[in-house]
Amino acid sequence: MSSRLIHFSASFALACLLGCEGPAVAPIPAFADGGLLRLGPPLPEESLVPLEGRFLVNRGQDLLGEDVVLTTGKNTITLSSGKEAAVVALQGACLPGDQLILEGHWRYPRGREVGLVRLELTDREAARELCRGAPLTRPLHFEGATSEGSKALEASLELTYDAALIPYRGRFFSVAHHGACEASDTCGVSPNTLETILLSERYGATAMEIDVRVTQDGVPILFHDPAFNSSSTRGVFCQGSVESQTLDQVLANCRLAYGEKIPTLERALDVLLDDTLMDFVYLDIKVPEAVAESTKLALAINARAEELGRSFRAVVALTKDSVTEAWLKFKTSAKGMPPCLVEYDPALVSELGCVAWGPTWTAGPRTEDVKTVRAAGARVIYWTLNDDHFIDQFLRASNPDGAITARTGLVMYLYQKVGQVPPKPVEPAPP
Amino acid sequence: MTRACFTTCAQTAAGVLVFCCTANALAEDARAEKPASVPPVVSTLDFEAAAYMSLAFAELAVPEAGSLNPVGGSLFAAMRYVPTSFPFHAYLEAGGGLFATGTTTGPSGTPYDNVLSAWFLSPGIGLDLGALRLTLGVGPALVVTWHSSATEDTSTTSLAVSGDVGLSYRFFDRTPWATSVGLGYRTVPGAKIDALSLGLEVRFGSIAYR
Repeated sequence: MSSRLIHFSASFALACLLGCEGPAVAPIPAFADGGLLRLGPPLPEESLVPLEGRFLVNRGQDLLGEDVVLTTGKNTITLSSGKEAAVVALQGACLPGDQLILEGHWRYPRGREVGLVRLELTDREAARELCRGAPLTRPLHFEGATSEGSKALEASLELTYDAALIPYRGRFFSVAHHGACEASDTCGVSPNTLETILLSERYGATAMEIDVRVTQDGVPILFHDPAFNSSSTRGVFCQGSVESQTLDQVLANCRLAYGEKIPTLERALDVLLDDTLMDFVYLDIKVPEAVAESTKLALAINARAEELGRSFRAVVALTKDSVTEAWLKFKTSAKGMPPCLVEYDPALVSELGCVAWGPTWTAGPRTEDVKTVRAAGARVIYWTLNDDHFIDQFLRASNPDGAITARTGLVMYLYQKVGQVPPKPVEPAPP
Repeated sequence: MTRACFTTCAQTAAGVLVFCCTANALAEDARAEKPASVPPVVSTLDFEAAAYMSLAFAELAVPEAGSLNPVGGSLFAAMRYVPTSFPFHAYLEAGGGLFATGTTTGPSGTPYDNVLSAWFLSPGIGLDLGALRLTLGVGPALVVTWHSSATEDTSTTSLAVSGDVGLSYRFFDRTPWATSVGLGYRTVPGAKIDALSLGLEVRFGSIAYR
């Protein structure tokens, strides 16, 4: 009997015994022939926002429901749907003959269904305008097709512009919960990676929450759990607590579940600022030891964003007393501080001069606390809303400024459908 | 009410004590009346030691930037309570092993010598079928890794759950000594340890209960 067979048999027996079964992965599908995007230049950046709007789904309702919301990011176009929390991640290209093509994939994030999508703007005149970067003067209509997995395109998809979006940039934040997918979503990308940061924007996120821990040599890295466990990392020598290894050792011995490198916070902040149009990043600092170095990096990236004229900000989340104490300790010696967000006690928001409160959804909408926090000039961003029913309920009950979620497309869709533009933060009243 | 409760408890305790003393006295009387023949062995408490070679099913995070030796070894001591009238028995096993060694290289170019080892405490059950013995154990494991380079040595420890299945064949048995050859598979799912082991198991002591 081969060792592989013995390994398999024994693993199977023990897996049955211990009740552990690894879920199948539904990775991002690709066009067998490479797709059409490579045949022309990308759609100009200034032509992305004019595409935005609510679209009726004339054909393809089985896949996406009756309507979708089209939002955009940095060279990304997202269709968000209320059906199965579906998202469609697209990119645009201008092909010869005034063809504007959108191509990408769709995903039902709760399941393992994925497929390909190709759409073409039917109005060649509008396509020419958009590809030139000229202002759009006519309503949009797309026709195309979808597939299951990486199979050939077969099912029709047709979208017609219906209405403008209510404002969301800088106003309402669909915050990706440490990535485009939860670890349990099996979408082929690990949480807290550079890859998932980019995918998050493609899935409709306008902000990002990332988890920060620190290595033995004091380098903040993106990692959720206190230890390198087998469910999230690869590498037989990738063991023990995060803070027990230096960054060099971590990178020598560990890769994430789908083979990605564990990124440093510094690199992740650069990617967020340079390669996305996200409004902010929510630094969920897991241990007090990571506060000082993470805060320095947040200050540096915020200064760079300001130089670039970007509104992007790194916001430090104060998630528990020990982190808050470390924050206050660092504050005594710092010349400036990045914005902060308090996750637990709403009274601390104004006391610490933070810009937002991040209550857990499990305590309900807490509308009275929301009013108090807003009166103090802060925003309210719930964590973690994934379910249609709760997103709907919280949007209606307290009109929040955003939500951390693993369903960024669904949050954006429901915000456009049932939400209202949250009030602009007011200057806090003088004491 | 408290006093009433206390009184009730005291009365109950006294009653239990009297009952136990009476029962014990009756049992002693019964033993005294038995004939002087040697009663049969109803169970044994066996003491064992085992040594295994192991082959870990492991991978490096970056295979192209390192080397891995998945061959290791482990030592265990076990205490086993074996009833004579029942095929199943219970055991408690403790031991440790080295499962993999290897070299990895960090982005700085620093090579690291790595060692993966673990300590186990594993209660389990066994089934004896003639000279064959099937065992199944689950218990805590303390996983220890070492990373050493020219300039620094670090180690990590983590606690995880371990499971093991074993099959052994007893080819020598003369009380209290017995020797078996054993094949086992041990997994620590939280710590990426999956290893096949082959080795020798020796029973070196046994207490008989009659």
